[in-house]
Amino acid sequence: MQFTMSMDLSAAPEEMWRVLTDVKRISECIPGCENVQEIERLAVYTATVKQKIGPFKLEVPADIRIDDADEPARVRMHAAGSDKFTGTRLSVVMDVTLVPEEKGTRLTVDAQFEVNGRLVTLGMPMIKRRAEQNFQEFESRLQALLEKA
Amino acid sequence: MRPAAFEYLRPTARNEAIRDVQGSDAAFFYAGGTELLLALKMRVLRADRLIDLKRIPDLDSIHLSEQGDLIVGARATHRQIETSALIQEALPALSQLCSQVANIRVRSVGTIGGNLCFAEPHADPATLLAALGARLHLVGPEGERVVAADEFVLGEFETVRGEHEMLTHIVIPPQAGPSSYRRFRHGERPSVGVGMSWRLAKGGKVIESVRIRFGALGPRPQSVEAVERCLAGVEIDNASDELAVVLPDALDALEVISDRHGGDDYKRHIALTLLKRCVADCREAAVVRRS
Amino acid sequence: MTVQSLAIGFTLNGRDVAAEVPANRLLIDLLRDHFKLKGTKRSCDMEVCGACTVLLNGEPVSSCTTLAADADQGAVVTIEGLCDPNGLSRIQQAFVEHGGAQCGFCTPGFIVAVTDLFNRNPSPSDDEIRHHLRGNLCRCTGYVKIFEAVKSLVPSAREGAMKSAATSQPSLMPITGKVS
Repeated sequence: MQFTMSMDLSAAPEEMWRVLTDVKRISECIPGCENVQEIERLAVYTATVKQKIGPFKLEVPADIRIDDADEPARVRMHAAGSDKFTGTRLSVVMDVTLVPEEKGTRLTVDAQFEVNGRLVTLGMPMIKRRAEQNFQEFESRLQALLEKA
Repeated sequence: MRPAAFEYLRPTARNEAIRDVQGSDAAFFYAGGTELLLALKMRVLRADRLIDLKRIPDLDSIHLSEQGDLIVGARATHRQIETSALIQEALPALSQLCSQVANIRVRSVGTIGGNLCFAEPHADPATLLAALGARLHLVGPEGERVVAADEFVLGEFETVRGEHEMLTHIVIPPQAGPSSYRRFRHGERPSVGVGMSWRLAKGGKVIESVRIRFGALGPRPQSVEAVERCLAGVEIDNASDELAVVLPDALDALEVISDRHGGDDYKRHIALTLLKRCVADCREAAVVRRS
Repeated sequence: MTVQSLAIGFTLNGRDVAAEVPANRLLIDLLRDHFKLKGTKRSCDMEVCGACTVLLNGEPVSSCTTLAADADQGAVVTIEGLCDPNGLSRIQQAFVEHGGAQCGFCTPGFIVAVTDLFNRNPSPSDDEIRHHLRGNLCRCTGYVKIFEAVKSLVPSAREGAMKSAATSQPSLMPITGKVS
């Protein structure tokens, strides 16, 4: 699944970069993401992603890695993990780009998200819709976070 | 596959069952288990406690109340509903619906309550019950409450029922006209379902109002106001013609999800066909009723 | 969590039996592994194919998705319980005569379903036969012979079948290699 979002922010890229590289705070914008731990600054993190659809639950211990950081223009990261009980794997590759504009920064997020494993048998369209909802929620929270900073 | 281990309880009274379900955060009621046990076997769902409801008396009763409501116990199986003389007489659309659910094995032990509570979107009962204006009775730690069938299903696998609440029975008010349910399926589950009930004016020649619900297309049963409106106040013999005026455009309002049951335009087309057939069914029943 | 053990008792093909099972034991496994009744088959393992059909309290169920605990205090009848001690039952005989079984894997499930059909309705119509057997899948026969076998057991059809069986030839169309 491919998701993309863009937002115009009033601050300069350098200021946005500071917030964006606070992986803990950014991760907490992801619905269901909690307990973010730093293993190696700006490189390796862990988190737990929890999701519930009706009675069906996922609890995914995720590894988050920053693949590429080009201050203050671009960050690429990926995260992945599996829910042990249902054998369902979530993985995402995310590219964040910051482009300076007259009035601040244009931030773009491109995410490639995959779900594999037994939970998919419940129906991929339903899972896609939930992923879309989560991405939209992520966008709102991220915007709020970045505008506040 | 086999289900992971769980604790197994067999309460003999409703309040025992409500108490038992609160004892764990992964406790589930079950009766036939045709949906739940499969999810446990496939290990997409984890339960550490199963509460068998089959020893609780009076949960599968089918009878008429003093007010003329049709009461269907939540634990009534599809087979019981299909073969109930009372339902065949009073609400043949429901009997016919239940006769077509899945296969003989599911119909033997699968219950209407289980079907509603599991809320798989490709299911039949929720659609017709919403069209009939049915009410669902729940009991839980905080007491009893009633929810309109129309509002029971929130989305895929999600209902308003709280984790600790039990669906006890369904109340279908006396119907002031005919009803029909048509579905299309090529497997075990419906790909498209349409439920309809007519309220006839005195004399039985004019439709006062209709309730129509479209199921299995989206996460929950849906209504289309334009279709319901176009039939209000119409003579039964003109119903099909009046309907034709608003079709197919009115069905653009339906949320239709493309999945392995079909693409959205295919399903929308089937919904249109089933809708027309439901109108024909109701007209025929209304004519017969009059004579 | 300590594995809870349930003591269950039921009649199996008319005989009183008992077993001690964990709550998550499936009926099919109890029948096949504990009671060594191998006639009931596990095929799809998800309640759609009917190969695992047994009668529980007189009703057909998918034993692959039924708890052994659900048999407690009840009556289970498997394909073994539907046999005639002296040979084949009426239904089995019909299947043999009409070629209603090839590999035979789906056959026990079909026989149980057909038994249920005639228990409910001694004279089903063609549509009723098809509707009742809709949930039993066969990958070999293409269903026609199964249908004919069942149809031959319907009272009015039986007489007609007995007549034509005496005079019929096997219907084999010659293969000419020509498409017409």
